Amino acid sequence: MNKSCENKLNDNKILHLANIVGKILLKNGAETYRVEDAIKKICFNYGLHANAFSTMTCIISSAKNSSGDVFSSVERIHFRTTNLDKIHNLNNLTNSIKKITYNEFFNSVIAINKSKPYSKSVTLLAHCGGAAFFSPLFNGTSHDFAGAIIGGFFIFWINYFSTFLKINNFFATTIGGAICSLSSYLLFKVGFLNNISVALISSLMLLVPGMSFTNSIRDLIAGDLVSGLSRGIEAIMIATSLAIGSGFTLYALIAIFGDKI
Amino acid sequence: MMTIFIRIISAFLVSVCFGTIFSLKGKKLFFAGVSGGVGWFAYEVFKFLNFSDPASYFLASVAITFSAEIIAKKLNTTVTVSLIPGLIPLVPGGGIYYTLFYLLHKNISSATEKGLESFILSGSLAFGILFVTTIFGIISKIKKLQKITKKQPK
Repeated sequence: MNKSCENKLNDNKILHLANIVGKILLKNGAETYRVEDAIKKICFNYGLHANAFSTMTCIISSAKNSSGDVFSSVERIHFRTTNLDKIHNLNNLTNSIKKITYNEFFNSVIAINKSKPYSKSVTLLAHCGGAAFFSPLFNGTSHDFAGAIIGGFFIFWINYFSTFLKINNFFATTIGGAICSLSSYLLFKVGFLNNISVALISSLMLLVPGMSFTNSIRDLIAGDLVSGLSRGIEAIMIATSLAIGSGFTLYALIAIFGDKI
Repeated sequence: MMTIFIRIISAFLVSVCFGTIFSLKGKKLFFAGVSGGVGWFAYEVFKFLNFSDPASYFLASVAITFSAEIIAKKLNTTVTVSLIPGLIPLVPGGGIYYTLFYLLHKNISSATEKGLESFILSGSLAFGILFVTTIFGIISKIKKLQKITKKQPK
């Protein structure tokens, strides 16, 4: 690194940049080791010796420069979503950090963070399709297919409002399960569905914690036991709230109206 | 035969839809679907060969992780891009629902059976991922060692 550049660059700023990258990665559902590696890599590239510790909710990092000064920073993460595209882009960017300057890097990080996800209508279509194409996997008929589309439609709105209002995941999942049960039960009551289960399970699959499950295992393999366990507990909690939401609603409906399913 | 084909196609489409929900874009979306399709294909094949459910889940998860690792190498991206959407069709969501449903109907024996079954199925999915990820980790470590040992004589 040449001297003019070094004067402009403050060591604190570098650690700050690294933490921004780590925070975006963790917020969008990256594994823990990827977050820690990204922070280390960025700091190392600008001549800092850094160490980072990250769990699901927090990043603690500290860096030492060549003259022995130590900086540290803590970043808290309160709300997580899933955006695999941002993870992909940031991963490629940190791998090519040696080829670009600090300002270019900073600007592209900001650009990636601001990049917009799919529009509302496309996401709605994906929810409907994702629920509907599960019905062949459970031996469903064309009526189950249509029933699952309706369930997916409701789940999209629940997901949308829960991300908008930042409601906790467990409550949103419980409500989602309840509404799935309700819509499938109504369709069954009208006589559109012969069997309540297939359409109900197909739309419930949208709420299944596949993301936390996969990341939990990958964290445990990488040796990050703390975040692996907490993600695993998250997956179990989501599955439980899903079961309670859907199972209890269905049970209550059957108990009130006295149908046999 | 036809139903199996339809199921594989729908597993592909499920993974594509979930990729869209996880805001994947472009070529990655297609390959996320491919790994979902591969997983369901493996599941159907081992089911056809009279493997038990946990065994075929394990082998299907091995197939998904294997394809996800290869896709990640080819497209120069992260493994989770195709692993997470690909694994979704196999997650035992039905078992979770049936467990509580039976539990509320006081049918404890069916509830335990379903609960244990979905627990074992998710465990076999986990071990499939663990197995292949570790193998790919070992391979990449060996390649790194080879590079170092080649450089040293000079």
